[in-house]
Amino acid sequence: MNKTFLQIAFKNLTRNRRRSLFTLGAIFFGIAIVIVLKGVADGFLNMTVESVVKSRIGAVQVHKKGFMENLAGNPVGLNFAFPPELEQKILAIDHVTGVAPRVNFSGTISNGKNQTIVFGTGVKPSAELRVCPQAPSIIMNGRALTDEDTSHIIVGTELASSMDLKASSPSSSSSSPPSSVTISGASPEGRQNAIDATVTGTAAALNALAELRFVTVPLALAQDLTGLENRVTELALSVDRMENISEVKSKLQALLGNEYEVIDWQEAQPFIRDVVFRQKVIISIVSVVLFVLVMFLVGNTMLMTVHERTKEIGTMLAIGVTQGQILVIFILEAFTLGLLGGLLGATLGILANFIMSIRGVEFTAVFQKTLLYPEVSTGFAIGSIIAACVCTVLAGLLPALKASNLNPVDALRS
Amino acid sequence: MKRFLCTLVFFLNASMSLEARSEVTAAELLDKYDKIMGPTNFESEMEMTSNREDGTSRTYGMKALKSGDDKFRIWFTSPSAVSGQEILRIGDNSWLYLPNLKRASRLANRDSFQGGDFNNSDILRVNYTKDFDGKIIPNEDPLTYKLELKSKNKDTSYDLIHLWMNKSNFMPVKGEYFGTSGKKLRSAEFTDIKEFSKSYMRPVKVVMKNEIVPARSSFLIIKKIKVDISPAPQKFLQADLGKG
Repeated sequence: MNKTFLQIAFKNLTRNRRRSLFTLGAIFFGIAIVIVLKGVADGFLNMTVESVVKSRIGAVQVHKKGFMENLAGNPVGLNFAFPPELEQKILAIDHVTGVAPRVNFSGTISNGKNQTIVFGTGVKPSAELRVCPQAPSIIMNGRALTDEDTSHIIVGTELASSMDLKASSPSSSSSSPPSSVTISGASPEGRQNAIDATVTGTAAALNALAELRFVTVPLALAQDLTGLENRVTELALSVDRMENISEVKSKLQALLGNEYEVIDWQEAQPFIRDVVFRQKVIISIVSVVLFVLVMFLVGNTMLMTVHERTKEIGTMLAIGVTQGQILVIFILEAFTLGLLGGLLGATLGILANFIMSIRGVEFTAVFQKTLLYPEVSTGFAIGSIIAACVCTVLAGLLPALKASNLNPVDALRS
Repeated sequence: MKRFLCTLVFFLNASMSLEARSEVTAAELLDKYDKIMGPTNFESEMEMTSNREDGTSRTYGMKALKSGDDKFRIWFTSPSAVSGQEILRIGDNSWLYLPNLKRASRLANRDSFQGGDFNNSDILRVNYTKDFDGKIIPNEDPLTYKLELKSKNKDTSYDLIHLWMNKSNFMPVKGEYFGTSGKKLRSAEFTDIKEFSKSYMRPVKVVMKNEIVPARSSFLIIKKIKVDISPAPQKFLQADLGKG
């Protein structure tokens, strides 16, 4: 019986092929667009997160408790010792691939004519390369810091342009010498200090304000400036896979105790987390809108079918087909449309994403031009097909109820 | 012969007196500096003008009250943008009271005083005897003592200060202020000595030059100062902020 209904539903679909084809096409393209969109968006988000995590902030960060709340105040106040034994213990945690000590400080930078407020980070370049392998990619002019640098500084591109600072040129035959600046800071107790440094490079940042305010110096210079000998204010860690971040966080917290706060990249950089969240919301809204459009189209087609087949429905009811069976036939028609359209659309979407991901799509990410690799999960593709089926069934429900509730006599007379 | 002996005795006396004067210790000089620049109790009217690197300048009028070694209060009177603001220092803690918010926020010693080239401790915490170990070092100028002040603790704004004081009246002449790295951060000149009362004289003007940004400088002018006063203790309570 069920097989018969399925056959009837399928035959009904082939009776008006052109109309069925248009409806199928709408579902097909709707699903394909949703999957391509999702693939590109997910690829973009992954690229953004990887770019930020691997070029600047690290996957996990460790600070003294209260550091994040006090970031705008006096970050050097919350410092801690970082002996080699602690480094070894942290590196022994599963999935941790690197740890980089940092000193964050606030101060001023001066070119002799002007001075402005800056937020500085003292880094150990070799450790940074392990934790943030893409760090050199944010250097726009000049070169990145090396472990041999002692009195050198990387400034944001906006800061360099506003203070007319020139970075050292990688080629020694450069016409203009690199600029020299004086960086001022203070110890946790308020002791002022200032050190001269040569600009080795200019760097991109997440936004223009950051490019105007952030500077990077060798760790030893930051420690001298702030009087934090052998002490740091931040540890940045890299992990083997992003999925292992929460496991690393909990193990690290257990190792260090409650005096420390262990945060992941999302907590360290809420701006990026919010961008990711907003993009996900936008994709969801676009997907819902597409599905609603498809629903209206399928609903309209089904209503027309019911209208055209009123006499036929009357005949079927007259020869003993029950109202429930009429309902099933129409719902099966809608379901078949949804399933076929969903399957074909998902196939096209996955294929398009696959083709784009073979060579990548050139894209300007946060810091530099890069290749975007669209990716879509099997789960999302299957979910889209199921959503297509559910939507078309829901859209067909009203016309199917209308058909099943027809009076046989009235239907035959119409 | 008699005249010769008299002359010899005169010169010996004179040289002995000079010798005696040069035996003044660094600690005594620091004590004198503290008594001149930060008498135990005083009330004063001051004006601070800060010249910025962009060529603009701004003048702040204020009244100040000091009690003992560790209590200081300032009322800003002009310009209108800061009129009503107050600063209170009790020991190592300082607060800035903002009348619009009716709240006081904590100030750091290292922060600049109203965006100028003095920092808060330059104005609010003048007690070199407590904060620095001093020694007299060789000086090319025969009319002044040169003191090298090395900080005793980590709380001072500067690691090292070079201070020149007039040998005849012990008035400060100039100062140079250094960070831990040895870099000169600021330099000061003390000019226009004025006798405000029979027992008290001091430089009226202190010019503080920013050595990091030479185009920046600030100067402080003491318009009135009374040292023989007994400030009311309630003026140095946080609860009194905003009450005039």
